[in-house]
Amino acid sequence: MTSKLIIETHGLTKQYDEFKAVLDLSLAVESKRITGFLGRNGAGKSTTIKMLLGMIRPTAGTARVLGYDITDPAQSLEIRRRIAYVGEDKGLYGYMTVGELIRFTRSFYRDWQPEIEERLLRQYQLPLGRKVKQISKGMRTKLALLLALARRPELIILDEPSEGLDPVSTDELLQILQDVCAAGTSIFFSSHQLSEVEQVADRVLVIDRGQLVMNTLLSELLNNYRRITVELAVQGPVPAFSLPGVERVLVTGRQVSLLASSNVDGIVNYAHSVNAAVQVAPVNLRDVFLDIVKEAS
Amino acid sequence: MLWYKMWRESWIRFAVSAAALLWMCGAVVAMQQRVRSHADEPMSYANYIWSAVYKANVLDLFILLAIVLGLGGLLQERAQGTAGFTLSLPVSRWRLVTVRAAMGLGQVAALALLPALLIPLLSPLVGEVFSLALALQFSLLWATCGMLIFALAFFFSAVLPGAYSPAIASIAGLLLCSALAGLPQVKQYPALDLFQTIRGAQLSLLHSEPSLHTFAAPLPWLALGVYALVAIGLVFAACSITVTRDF
Repeated sequence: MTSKLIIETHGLTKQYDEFKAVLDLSLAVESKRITGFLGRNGAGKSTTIKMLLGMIRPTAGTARVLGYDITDPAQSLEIRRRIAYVGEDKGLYGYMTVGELIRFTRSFYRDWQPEIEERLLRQYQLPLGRKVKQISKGMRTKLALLLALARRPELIILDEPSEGLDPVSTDELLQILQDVCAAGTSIFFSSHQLSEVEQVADRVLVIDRGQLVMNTLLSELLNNYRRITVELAVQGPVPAFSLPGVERVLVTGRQVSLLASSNVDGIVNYAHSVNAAVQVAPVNLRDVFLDIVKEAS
Repeated sequence: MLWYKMWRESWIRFAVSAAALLWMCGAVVAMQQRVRSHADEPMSYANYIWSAVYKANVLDLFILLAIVLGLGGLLQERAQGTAGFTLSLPVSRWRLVTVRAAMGLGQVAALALLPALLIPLLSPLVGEVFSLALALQFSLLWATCGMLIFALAFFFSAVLPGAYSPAIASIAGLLLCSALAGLPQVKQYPALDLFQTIRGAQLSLLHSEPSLHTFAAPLPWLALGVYALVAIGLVFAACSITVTRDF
């Protein structure tokens, strides 16, 4: 079964003078899934998200969100009408009270759902009369989520949603994301917290130095990816492991560490044929991510 | 509700500005006897009001307040971390900027009107009269020239990041205007002298007449029109810059 694409980018690039924040980024995000957008600090995650929202103009390339062109001002407006965004710093107007900010935001959306607002207000226990600047960061995140969720958007984009949250609030947030996705909303969220992406994401996109370096279903990664450690019997030239399924090769003395996405049996057989001892171990997202970004470094 | 946001962001500045202007005007009226009695030459009440309010102290305050009201906007919001939320709303940047400009221009006009409301009202309490019509003429000068000063600060707020640089650039811009107006080539066009215009210097009969009856000189409509157009141009330029800027 193929899902509808909710975000598509082709060759998306953002360059500031000599610095390439995002370089030739082509990605596709399917609807009704949770897609984790992983990368180190400064990898280009926020720049990509801001381009999708029309806050930053791409230097080159094209992108569509919900089928609308991000570079066309009228279509960008339609994107913002139909999606919700929760920014990294949860920057909400500190001079308004929680209630005022809800009323203010509500006025921009015809599809606002008062019953969802009521339910989330009860669930999050937000103090309506308190100024936004006086509430905790956890509360601010919940308020930002309420503003995003109270209108059943087709897509929610979150930039580092757990930034600054304590573990309990993070756990609540991830639960909310799963509930929202189960109700039919697509979620695209950036993070550098591997554990939380692993906990909720269906698909993982990894960006490094502005370029997409991995795009896989998490289940596929956990089921198929393996770490194969090959111990060569004698010191000498290391055989080439240019085999199908080999994603990364790291050679340390007589030891070769391979990251395989498939063809594990074939790789093991090849290692045995060169008289090497072989160990195969499952990997998690953290192993793969570190492997990728270390190689890039 | 965009108007509500703009009002909430600026109302404290506006209220403080209004209070400061009212207090200064009230103080000028209350101290008229003492100041006039110590003047080197006999001074009519109208001349005293013009000197203290429309020519110097209160005018200087009004110019500073117009600059303060022009500060803010999306660059300031970016520094405060709220630009992301604002720009994620389904509102065009043009609308964001023009609503803020309209709110600020309205506030400048309201501030310009305050002396005209207060001075004619308080003057009888000190046994003097100051014509409302005359005060309204000065308010018109303040409102239009104030628009230009506001627009200058508004423009620099869209161009320069930081809390202070737009204010410093606006003051520098006004000083430059003042210096340029002193050049011989420019002096022959008094309409180009913003400070002379805002002071009502063209209404020069006021200086020689002890009464206000001859204060019927025509307002410098051409200069006011030029200033209003330049102000609109500056707001338009601020809009254009904001639309293409990355946040």
